Amino acid sequence: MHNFKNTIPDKLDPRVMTVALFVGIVEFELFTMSKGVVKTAGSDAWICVVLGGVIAIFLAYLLVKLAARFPNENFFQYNRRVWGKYIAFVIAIAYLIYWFTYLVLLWEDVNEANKLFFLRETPSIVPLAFFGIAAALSALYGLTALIRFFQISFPFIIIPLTIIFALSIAKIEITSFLPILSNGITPVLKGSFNIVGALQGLELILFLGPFLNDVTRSVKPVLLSIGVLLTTVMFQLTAAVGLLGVESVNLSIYPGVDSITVIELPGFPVQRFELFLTFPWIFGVFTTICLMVYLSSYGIMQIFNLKRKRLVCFLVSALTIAASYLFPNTAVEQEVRNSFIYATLLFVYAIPILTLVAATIRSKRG
Amino acid sequence: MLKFFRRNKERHAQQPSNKSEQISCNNEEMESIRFVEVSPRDSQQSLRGSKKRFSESARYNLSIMSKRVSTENLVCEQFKLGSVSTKTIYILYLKNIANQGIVSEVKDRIAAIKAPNILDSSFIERNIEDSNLSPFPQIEVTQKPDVVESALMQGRVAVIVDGSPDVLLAPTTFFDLMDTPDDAYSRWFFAASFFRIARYIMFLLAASLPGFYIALTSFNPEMIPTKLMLQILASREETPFPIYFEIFLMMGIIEAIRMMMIRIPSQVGYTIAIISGLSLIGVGVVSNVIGPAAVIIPTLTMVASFGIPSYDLRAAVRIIQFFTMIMSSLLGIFGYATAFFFIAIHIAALKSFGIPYMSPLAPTEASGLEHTVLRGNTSQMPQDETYNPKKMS
Repeated sequence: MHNFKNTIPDKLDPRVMTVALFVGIVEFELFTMSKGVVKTAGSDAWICVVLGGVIAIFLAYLLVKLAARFPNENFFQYNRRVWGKYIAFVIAIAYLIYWFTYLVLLWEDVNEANKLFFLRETPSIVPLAFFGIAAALSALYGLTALIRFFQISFPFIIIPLTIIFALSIAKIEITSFLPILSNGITPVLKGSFNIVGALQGLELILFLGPFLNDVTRSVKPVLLSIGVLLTTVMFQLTAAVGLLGVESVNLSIYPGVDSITVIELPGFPVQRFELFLTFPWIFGVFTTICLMVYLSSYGIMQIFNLKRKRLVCFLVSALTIAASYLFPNTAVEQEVRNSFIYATLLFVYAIPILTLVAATIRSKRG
Repeated sequence: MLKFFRRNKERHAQQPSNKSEQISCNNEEMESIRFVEVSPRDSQQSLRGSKKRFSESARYNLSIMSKRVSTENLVCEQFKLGSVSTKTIYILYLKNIANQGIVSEVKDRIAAIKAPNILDSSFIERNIEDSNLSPFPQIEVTQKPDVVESALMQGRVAVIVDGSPDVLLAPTTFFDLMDTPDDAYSRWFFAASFFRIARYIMFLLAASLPGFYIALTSFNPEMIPTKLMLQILASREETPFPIYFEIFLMMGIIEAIRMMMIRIPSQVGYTIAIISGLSLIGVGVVSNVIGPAAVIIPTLTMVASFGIPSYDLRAAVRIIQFFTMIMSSLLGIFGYATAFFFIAIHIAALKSFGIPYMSPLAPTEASGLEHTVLRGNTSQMPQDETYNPKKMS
């Protein structure tokens, strides 16, 4: 391969935030999330999405404000100036552990779903290894290439999801959502935090800033992204509750997938609509894995001042795959996954917002 | 020319000798001899628009371009390359539109070429493109002056090599390679857009249909409608080979027939290709060596591949379809998706002279989508931001 150095600047337009965040956040949880929210809030789960959406939009706005304050630096870089060298180092290490854990959970999800739907007899390491190589390569090319990959993937996620919802809408039972607020407001509030805590990957806002040509213009794209994302969650949730009912959702392992099996369209060339769900699922989980491998690898290189990009990217990929085999069974993984919401609330919202407050008080600006 | 041979003949007649004699091959007389132009196979036929083609004479090509683009902003720069046999290379661009960064990038890369001779423009192409390992061509090749004119108006740079009728256009995106002049010349934008979308669907089919079929039938047959699946199973009852083997076999046969059609003189070649193709498939299906579906899928793939206008891109897709087939044979739908990811990651990272290969889709540039992915309803030729042009004055 030639080694030409291009002179054309490779900055991204802030509008990429809409697709970048959507594709970076959507993963397998989209099809399981309804179970957790329905367990907490029952038929009022849809209110959780609305309320959670409002909270998430407000918090994301604060994240954009923080990124815009330091337009040429990423979160780890300006943390040193805001918190001081040592605290910033501890925060960075904590983030790396958070991303590592999330990656391990994602690999385990891929593994489980793979065994259930696609490759029942193939040794699980084989598909994971292929995925791992692809994810490491994507991280290796850098964030701008990764975002362009997200843009290519976007239609393959959004179009099948929209088709599925359009097909299921006629069969949704409105009575499944009644009566409203039968258990009071507390479960709804609890469920809202489940929704907010499920937005792992939103921290991309804090790292994408230096790659954008004007980070201050990214408020609208970020808000739009969360809007589209929560609309998709709402589609999934209403389809699950409206087609299966609250009790069946609670019993189901993958309510998002089960709700699709109910759809029947006589005369339509496709009989089983799970195929439509296959692509958003695989694309969603893979893109999120790519993002997490990128954040972890470049985070490690930045903190420890390492130069061997290729080695670090492949090592992160390989180690997290290996760690996913430490889960004894799916139940344990699900337990960890449910608790992970609290970690997300801390790392995606609490620490960055505290950083914004500290930066404002100490008048730190990029 | 006759005069030249007559003079040589006379000279030899005057001094009969068995020894060889050196004569100069590089004189004006030799250079002024006009060669008979071989009428080429037209790889870029268009229903409307100019029917003119470039020739092997760079001067002729330059004169066509100066007639088509009659503006003082048209810049032509000349390079002399080749340490053993020198060849002249020209670059053309519009100085009021082309991005200076791109122009100097093209110039630098051409100037850096160290070669004893330049046989054809393809040698320039492989030396200046960003990645010669990539299956995707990063430079567009055309023999049509109107395509070059349109490219210059978009801020691109044309490279003309003396002795080659193929003019290179840089930078190039994926969408340039999927574009045909007929899209721009069509009267009704809606039909043009429809055919463009059809071409993209054909591209996807050509790259992935055999792989997708292998993945579904071998690993996840439950996703196929029951009636169709039963039909496929019934047709395969007597066949001895697994599905993936049948598809690989048929794809191989199709490639062999395609190569035969290129190599054998046209009329005989077409007849032999049709007869051999029909007899192979007919006997194969009747004798139950292959199933009917294994004929339908590769044939559909081949037909779809001809929807891709660029020869180089078509060649890339042929290799990619084998990659998707191998991955699908190993890992089913999961492998099919992984193959897609490898390709998508590669094209997302690929650039042509600093311009992302998938522009204006990734990065998304709304102004460009109108005449790349679709054909807008515009009264004049639109200019997008893909090549970072200076604003047209």
